[in-house]
Amino acid sequence: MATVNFGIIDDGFPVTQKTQLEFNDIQHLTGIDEWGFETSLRDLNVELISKSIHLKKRINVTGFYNPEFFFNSKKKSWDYISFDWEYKMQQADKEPEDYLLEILKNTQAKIYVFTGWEKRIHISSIIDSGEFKAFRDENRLEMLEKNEDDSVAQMLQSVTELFERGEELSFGEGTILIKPSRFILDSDDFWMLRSLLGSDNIKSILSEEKSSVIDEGTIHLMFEKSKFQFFIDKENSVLSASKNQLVESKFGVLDELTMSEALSIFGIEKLVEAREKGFTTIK
Amino acid sequence: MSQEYISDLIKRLGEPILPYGRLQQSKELLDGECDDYSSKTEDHSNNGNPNLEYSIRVEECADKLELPTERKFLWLIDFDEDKNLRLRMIPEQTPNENRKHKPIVCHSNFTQCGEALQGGECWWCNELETIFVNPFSGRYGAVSVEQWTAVLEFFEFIGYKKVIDSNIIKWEKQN
Repeated sequence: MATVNFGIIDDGFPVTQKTQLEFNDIQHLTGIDEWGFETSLRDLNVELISKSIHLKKRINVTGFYNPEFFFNSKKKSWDYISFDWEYKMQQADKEPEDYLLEILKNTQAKIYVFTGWEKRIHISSIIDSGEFKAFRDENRLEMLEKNEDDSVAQMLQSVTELFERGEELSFGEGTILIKPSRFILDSDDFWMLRSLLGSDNIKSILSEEKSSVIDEGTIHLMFEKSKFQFFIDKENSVLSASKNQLVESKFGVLDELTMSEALSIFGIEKLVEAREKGFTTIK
Repeated sequence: MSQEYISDLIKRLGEPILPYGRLQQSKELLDGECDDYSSKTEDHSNNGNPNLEYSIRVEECADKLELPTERKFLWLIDFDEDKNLRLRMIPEQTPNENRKHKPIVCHSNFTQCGEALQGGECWWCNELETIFVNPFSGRYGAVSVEQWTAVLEFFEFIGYKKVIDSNIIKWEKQN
């Protein structure tokens, strides 16, 4: 499964009893009105959660109230981290830059210092020099101001671009690249596609097209050329993998759908269900 | 019951088929789908109650459209080594990690992709001593009224006193 892991370290989250906020916790918090002045932080969370739901939860969003909770987390793989600068509950002997450096050294993530405009000059003077400069040069460290219109959009754009790079997967004799599309998002979905069309058919199309990329275009082509069939009744109540008397006895005559129609109307998951069960009701 | 009746029932259940044998199209069998899970199946040919851990409660039977997925069994009718008809079941949620697109068992795991007569899904309600059965198996499922009627008859023949055609209920409610 291709996922993007986004961590948010910020004491502006509404107060809960937890030290680590998981996807469902954050989704719940985005619906309540206890964010005070932290409207940008709320917007970031709303946008990430919405985007993730649109992508079948392929963006993992995790929140922490302070860096100590972040370091104590069992989660260690991060693509992006949004890092607030100051914390009400930070250790007396640690400065924000100490935490920031520790995160940079212990992850591979890109860090967005996401904080108020009034700290901009102070923070710039720190992260543009010393040990931070190398991370800046590697494009792993960037400051974004809360309440700037495009700060949240910029983080969302980065997440989208990373996700849309796709996922490489060993298949057959070689490696294929799965580009997210409205039909499949990643390898999990690809295995469903394979169960529907068969390995040989997929290999054959890729070979004909001299391509190793599974994108919306190649999926359309695979369905256009597929010899499989699906059937539907006139009332659109049932989707069947075969034209059979048992189904027709209840639903009337079944008509064949072209595979392209079946794909467009039902999507891959529903077609797999119909194939697995023989037939399935349409809700 | 006479041997004549059993012969007739076998005939009405349909010819033994390989997986997807009743589809008008061939279908590739994928990783894990032919793995041998027969040792994890339970033979219920003598009306043995299915694993009670998976029994559904009375209140869950009220809406027969939404029987709980996590306590569903797959059932399969095939011949044993002595050529006798048998009914086997396995909880659907039994893991089969080798199936990449859906890592739980499927009907061909009963047979290692060999022949069977019929397959589908069922739920057992121990309090009501009732079994809810449907023909949902793309690999071995019924494709005619005669076959499906014979399936329900076979469940009754081996001793289940209350066999509910959960598929028909769904259809009647929908229509």
